[in-house]
Amino acid sequence: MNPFRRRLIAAVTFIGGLYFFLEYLLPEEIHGVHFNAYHEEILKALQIVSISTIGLGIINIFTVYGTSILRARKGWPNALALMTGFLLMMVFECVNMFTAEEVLKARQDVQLLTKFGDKIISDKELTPAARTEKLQLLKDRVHALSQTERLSNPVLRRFPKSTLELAEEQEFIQAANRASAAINAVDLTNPDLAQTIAELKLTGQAAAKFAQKSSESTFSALASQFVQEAFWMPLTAAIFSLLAFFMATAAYRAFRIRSLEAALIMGSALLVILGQIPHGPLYISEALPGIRLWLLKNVNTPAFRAIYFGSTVAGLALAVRIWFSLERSPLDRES
Amino acid sequence: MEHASPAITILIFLFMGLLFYQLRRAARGEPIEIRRIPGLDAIDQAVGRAVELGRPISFTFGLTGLGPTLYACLSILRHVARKTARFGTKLFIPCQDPEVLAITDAALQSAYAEEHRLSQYDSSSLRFLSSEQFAYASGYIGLLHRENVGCAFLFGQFAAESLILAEAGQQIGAMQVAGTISNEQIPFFLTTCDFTLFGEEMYAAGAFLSRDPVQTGSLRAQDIAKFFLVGLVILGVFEATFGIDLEHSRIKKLLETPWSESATGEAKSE
Repeated sequence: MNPFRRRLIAAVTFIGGLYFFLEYLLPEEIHGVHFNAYHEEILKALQIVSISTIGLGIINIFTVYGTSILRARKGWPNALALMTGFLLMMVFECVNMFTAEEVLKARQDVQLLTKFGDKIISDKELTPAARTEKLQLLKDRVHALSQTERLSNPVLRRFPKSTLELAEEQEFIQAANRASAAINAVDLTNPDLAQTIAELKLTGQAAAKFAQKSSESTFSALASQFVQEAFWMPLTAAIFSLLAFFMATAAYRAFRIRSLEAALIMGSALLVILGQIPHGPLYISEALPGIRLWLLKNVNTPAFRAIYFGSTVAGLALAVRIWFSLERSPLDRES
Repeated sequence: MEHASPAITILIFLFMGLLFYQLRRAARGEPIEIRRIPGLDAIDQAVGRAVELGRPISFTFGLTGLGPTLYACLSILRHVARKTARFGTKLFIPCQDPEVLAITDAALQSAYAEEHRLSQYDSSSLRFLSSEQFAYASGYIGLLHRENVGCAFLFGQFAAESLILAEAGQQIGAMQVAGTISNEQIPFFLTTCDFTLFGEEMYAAGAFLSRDPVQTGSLRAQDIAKFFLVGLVILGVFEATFGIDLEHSRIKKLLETPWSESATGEAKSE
């Protein structure tokens, strides 16, 4: 490695290590100075660097499995299944993400109308002419919300066309109709918007419900949900459930008494298992739960703690060696 | 936010002082005896067996992310990769973390370059399987069965998937060497793998394989530090045995009192 590059890496490692070392050792405040005032921001920056590497994982998937499919290597159907699943999920999730963003904005626009109505009444600096103009604008907006024609309704236009008949859509249009009727009844020369604002609030709530249902009922959302519920979750559960069978085969191998250690393992495992049985026909002795607890507390826990002690001290030593770049990095080349 | 108490700060500085002193001694060439660890001897045996059988080798870090544990595992991987480069054996590295993938790629390239076999390095041996624990496990099982690996190394941090990974190797008759700092997974590896390194043994592997004076010196410092900590434990046992209330134990108080309270205590005493 280039000596300059090596020194640069060592310097950056040292500075980074020094910050985290001091952050842990020093108290939160020294004479009014908060050493870790920007700690959250620093952690976020590290997370961003970390997230950026996900692209490397995706490139690797495309390179390895794409090549496998193109060259029809051993196991290429598996690679094809993986790539198909990966691409489908990516497309569905991207569509869902953009739809959700657009729906959120449209929903917020509806909810902002309530604030707009409040502002028209509460703003004392508004001239009567300006107030009338703004009321007319509000009236037009609310009227537009009550349109059943998709293209002329600013909410329906931006919400995705659902694959299902949604009751929430009708509820929203009815609420918008009521709000429109309320604002139509307002006297523009001496306006009282209390009823209109109450109706607008209800319209906003109906829009929020509609938004959620609409986002969940698109083809991409339903497909994504289907893939997750019909494939991903059962497959994950299936892999996890393998553990039960593997534990049995591993126990069979471990419990064959061939040496003193194996006999000890077998004996203690038997006592722990029997001590676990609460009551019933297999209940043997009242002493067993106590023996089980004694084994776990006085034999198992100290052994675990001893291992933990050793690895903590070793981890600390390694951390210091990395911090000061004392040893040759595994990434460094000799020649 | 968690901060060190004054006592912990003193302990850390004492340990660092001890570590630097031992590194200096090791650098001067003082011989340091490292006991043989069967699991580490088995690494070369396992590689040799895979080479003889003409079957590939697999090396996984499990769920290990960036940190000292990965660094320790990379030292072992480097040793294995140099051997596979020398013998021209295929090496598969299934990864769960994309960050680890990038670093492993660099480590493998450097290992192959050291053996002057960089042209033989195949980046497709590094496989990003999934960040999801069980999706990763299923990918690993598939890889082991498809490629029929001759030996599998499992080093790093593992969780519930440890037994699934190790049992997959067992089913295809691969020689397996595991090393982990995840206490709860040690029994699974012990019952399924041929050799298991646990706790600090995994950190010691780098020193054992490279005989680097910095690493061997560090091992001695660690042992002395452990003796000191065991001394503290014994002191605590005496305190408890002779009827001192543990809730008001001086050792416990010394270790747990944060900076702010110790500063107040000083002010009061003044």
